[in-house]
Amino acid sequence: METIPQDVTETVRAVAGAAPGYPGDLTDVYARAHRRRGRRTALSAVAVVAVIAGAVAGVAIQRQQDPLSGTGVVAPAGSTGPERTTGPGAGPPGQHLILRAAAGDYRGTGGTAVKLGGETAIGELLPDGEVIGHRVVGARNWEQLVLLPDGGAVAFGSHDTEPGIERTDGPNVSGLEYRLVVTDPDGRIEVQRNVRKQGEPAMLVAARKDTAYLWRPAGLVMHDIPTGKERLVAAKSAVGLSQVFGDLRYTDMSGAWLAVSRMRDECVPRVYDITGVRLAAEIPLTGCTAVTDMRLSPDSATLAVAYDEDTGSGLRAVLALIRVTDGKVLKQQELSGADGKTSPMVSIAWSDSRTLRGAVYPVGAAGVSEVTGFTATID
Amino acid sequence: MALPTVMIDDTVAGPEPDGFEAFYRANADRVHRALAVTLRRDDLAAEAVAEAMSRAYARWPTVSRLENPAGWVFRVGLNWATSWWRKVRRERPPAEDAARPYLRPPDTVVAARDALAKLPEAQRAVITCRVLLDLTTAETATALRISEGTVKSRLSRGLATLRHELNSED
Repeated sequence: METIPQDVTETVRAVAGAAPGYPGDLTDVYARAHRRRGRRTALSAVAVVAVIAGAVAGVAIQRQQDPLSGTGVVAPAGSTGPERTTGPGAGPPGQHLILRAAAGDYRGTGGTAVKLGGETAIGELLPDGEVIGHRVVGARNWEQLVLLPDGGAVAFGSHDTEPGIERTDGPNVSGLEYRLVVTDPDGRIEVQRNVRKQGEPAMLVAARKDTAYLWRPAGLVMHDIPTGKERLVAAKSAVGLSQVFGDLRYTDMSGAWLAVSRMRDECVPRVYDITGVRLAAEIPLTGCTAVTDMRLSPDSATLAVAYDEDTGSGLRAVLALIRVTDGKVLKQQELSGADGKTSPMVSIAWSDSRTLRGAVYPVGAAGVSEVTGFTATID
Repeated sequence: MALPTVMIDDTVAGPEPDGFEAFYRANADRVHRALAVTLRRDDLAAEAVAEAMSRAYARWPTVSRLENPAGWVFRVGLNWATSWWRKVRRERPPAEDAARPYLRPPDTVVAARDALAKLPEAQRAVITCRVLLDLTTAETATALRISEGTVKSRLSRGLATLRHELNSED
């Protein structure tokens, strides 16, 4: 077990000791428990009505036709698997190197500093080493951004419609929207939709011009952007998750392939073919103690994983490019700039199906942070 | 088939579950301080403790049998705070210390707090679990529902950053 230095322990305890004491009381705790019990009872009644109504409606629907009913799994539109891989130049488009969670002022090599984070802009490291900020519109609190090959974007974030109004309804807070926003290459909003279901977390995992893939508590769903209709692509249990939010550590998607790293065994990423929700690969990472990012190549043939490796005398940041079909490590290299002194974040993205680019950068540091790029190529 | 599941309500125990009050009095302030350090918001930490304690009360027969009920309360409070607060955090900026001069801590504590603030929240959570709640690596992993490897990784990086920041303050 790692020993925590005494001075650090004292520092942390001093900070905690300076915080105000707990102002609550036991009566409030009991009252909250009783309120929640009342809400659950009401919800149960609603759910019973919904189940009965659903059963009646289900009978009616089954008498018509529903090819999806009972399967829970659908092939994503236009999906392609590794067996359909084409040669360089004709392959699927590359990925933009988005600087996940970057917040603060950042600078690449030679460029000027750019302010990133929150509603300001989402950062990208360009191949020439410059950091640029993509301005995002339509919501106040951006979480994910997918840049499309045509220059447009699909963004996902939360938006409070009642800013400044104190609310006490907890996780199911009212007046909040999860916005899925599609912009054209000029930044004009083409679609802006509230995809929130009250009480349910959601997360964008991948997107094309007409389709977004979202994690919801039930599993991976395909969201048709023009109509807003959704279909369950992979139930959570089919991809080894007991619960999506709480058990999912990292995820990525390319074509019809889904990569999943779970909280309980994050160093064993798995790749699923979601056309039939079949486990295609289970990849134990030797020496891995924690995964820091994971991306499937555009042709879905290779999984890139950035992770921390325990050397016995400390951690070292490592990148591995792994062939999905047999788990063979095609390339492994140490990541420079991730030396543990500045708590770095690692983001990776495939320029094409053989070339991976990455960025190492601090998050939340004071001043202007440097973004260090790296490249790994499959020989 | 869903009906029996819907009808079962396993979340509320009796009015005065044995031992809950003693647990509350022994741990509420400790968990609150750990959450205040992790979340960097005293008011949010207080709400989170109240929410998490009310859930512990409702499930006390189960929670009381856990190896570390305080770790459970910390995680539930942290999850509640982050899942709710991240949705509205930009709408209500945290209160400035200047507005509460009577609460301003000594400069050394301010420097330490600023150093802690530079850590990602996930690393702060691991450090506070280890230091303030006295959890082991395994207990921290269980409390935060992450792997022991992740605990070690976050702790190692968090400590390195903290030492770096504290030394640079000199």
